[in-house]
Amino acid sequence: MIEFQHVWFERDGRVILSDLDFEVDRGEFVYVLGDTGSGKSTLLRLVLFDQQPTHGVVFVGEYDSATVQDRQIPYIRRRIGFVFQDYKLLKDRSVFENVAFALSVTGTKGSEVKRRTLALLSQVDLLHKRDEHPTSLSGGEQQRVAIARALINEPYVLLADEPTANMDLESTERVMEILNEVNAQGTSILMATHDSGLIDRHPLRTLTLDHGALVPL
Amino acid sequence: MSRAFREALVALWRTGTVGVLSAVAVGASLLLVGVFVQVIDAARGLSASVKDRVEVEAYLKDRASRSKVQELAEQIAGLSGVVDVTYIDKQAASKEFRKMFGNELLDALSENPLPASIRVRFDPTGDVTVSAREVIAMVEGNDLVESIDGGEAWLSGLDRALEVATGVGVALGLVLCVACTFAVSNTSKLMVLAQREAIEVMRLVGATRAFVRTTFLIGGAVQGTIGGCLAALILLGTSGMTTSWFMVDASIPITTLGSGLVLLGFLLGVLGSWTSLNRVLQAIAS
Repeated sequence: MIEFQHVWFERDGRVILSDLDFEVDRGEFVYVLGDTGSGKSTLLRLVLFDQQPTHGVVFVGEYDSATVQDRQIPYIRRRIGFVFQDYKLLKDRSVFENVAFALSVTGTKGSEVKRRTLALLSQVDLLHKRDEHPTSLSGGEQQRVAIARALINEPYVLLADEPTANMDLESTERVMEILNEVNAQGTSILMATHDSGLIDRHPLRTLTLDHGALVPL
Repeated sequence: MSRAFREALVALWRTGTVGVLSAVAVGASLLLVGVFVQVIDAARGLSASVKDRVEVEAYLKDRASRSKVQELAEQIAGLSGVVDVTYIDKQAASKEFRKMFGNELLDALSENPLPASIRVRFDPTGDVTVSAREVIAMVEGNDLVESIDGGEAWLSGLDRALEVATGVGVALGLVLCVACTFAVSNTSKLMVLAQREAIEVMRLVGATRAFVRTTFLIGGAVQGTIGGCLAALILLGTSGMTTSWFMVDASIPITTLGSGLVLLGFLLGVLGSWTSLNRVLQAIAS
């Protein structure tokens, strides 16, 4: 599903990622563990084709970074959900509109947008807050809205960049519960985190990054 | 396209006060351009009106023979830009004077002291001052002519005034057009920047570049058009007042001027959004 073949990434002459070589299978849930600045976010952005590797090739499904064309990227991103640490919700839109937005900009019919948005809000237990704005929600609730938005296009890969950062234990567990449900439905998940305690509570395969390099097991 | 149009209207609607203020700012800039065009149009009207009234009058000596005066009048009529040459005899001059100043003055005199004259009028669409100077040059020093009214100094003054007015008008027009372009462009930039987060999210959830562009170009166009409509409505509402201020009829119909402003607003809105969006997309991508 996702494969990094000897991937290097440099910015302004500085090495951010060095010689990453790994695979994530279809339906697998993998953590990317590392401190701030270790290159976790860059790794996720390479999967999203938001950045191009300096050397090596990134494979996502049937596409790879060496041959992918700019015009194909928006269509690939519709099958890759992305959850940000800072949620990136639009504050001037309601919970419903934030989730529906991701589907409506892809040209989906209004009735289908409504049906799928309501179903997802129900899945993340936020149906009752669909008319509220993000600023009136807790951090955990905002992240659940962001997850719903990431799932609205029914992606085969979900990328999550520190989705539980700055959350209390209860909110963290609720987010993990939702991610596990999504993974159980067949969606591959690559989740960046610096929280080793979370990995201890939910042990799964973990890629550890140290200064941009994978730490051998 | 319809989805992009809907998204553009939603985005504009959500900008709330910023959106309203931006449209008003665009409208104010375009209104300035509209008022400037009206002022220039009025100045041109006034200039034509003044030129239409320019005349040179050559006062004739009492002993000038009618046939020689006729010959001189024909020579003057042959000059370029001259549209009318009229011979005013002493009786006609007296009649004109009485009409203007009453009978008392002339009645007090034993004989009519007013000289006969040749009155020359010019084509207002041509260079009146050049034509008038040619006429003055022809009659000056002529044995039949006693004096000339509408002389060199007055015409030079008119020439200078028109040159200054044209120069100031062109300079002011350029400054206004540049200022208007900046104002509309910066306003569009403000609107695009206000939606930067939405643009970033659009890109990451798989909106095509064309969709993002179309959405914001439509937004800029709508905003510019609203500003243009505001300016046009204000001009339309105050057209009666401005006509009485300028004292001349406008040669550019107010509906044409209004439509021009709406079109200008539309174009500047699209242009401003295009340039701003390019910068934002580059910034997001880097």
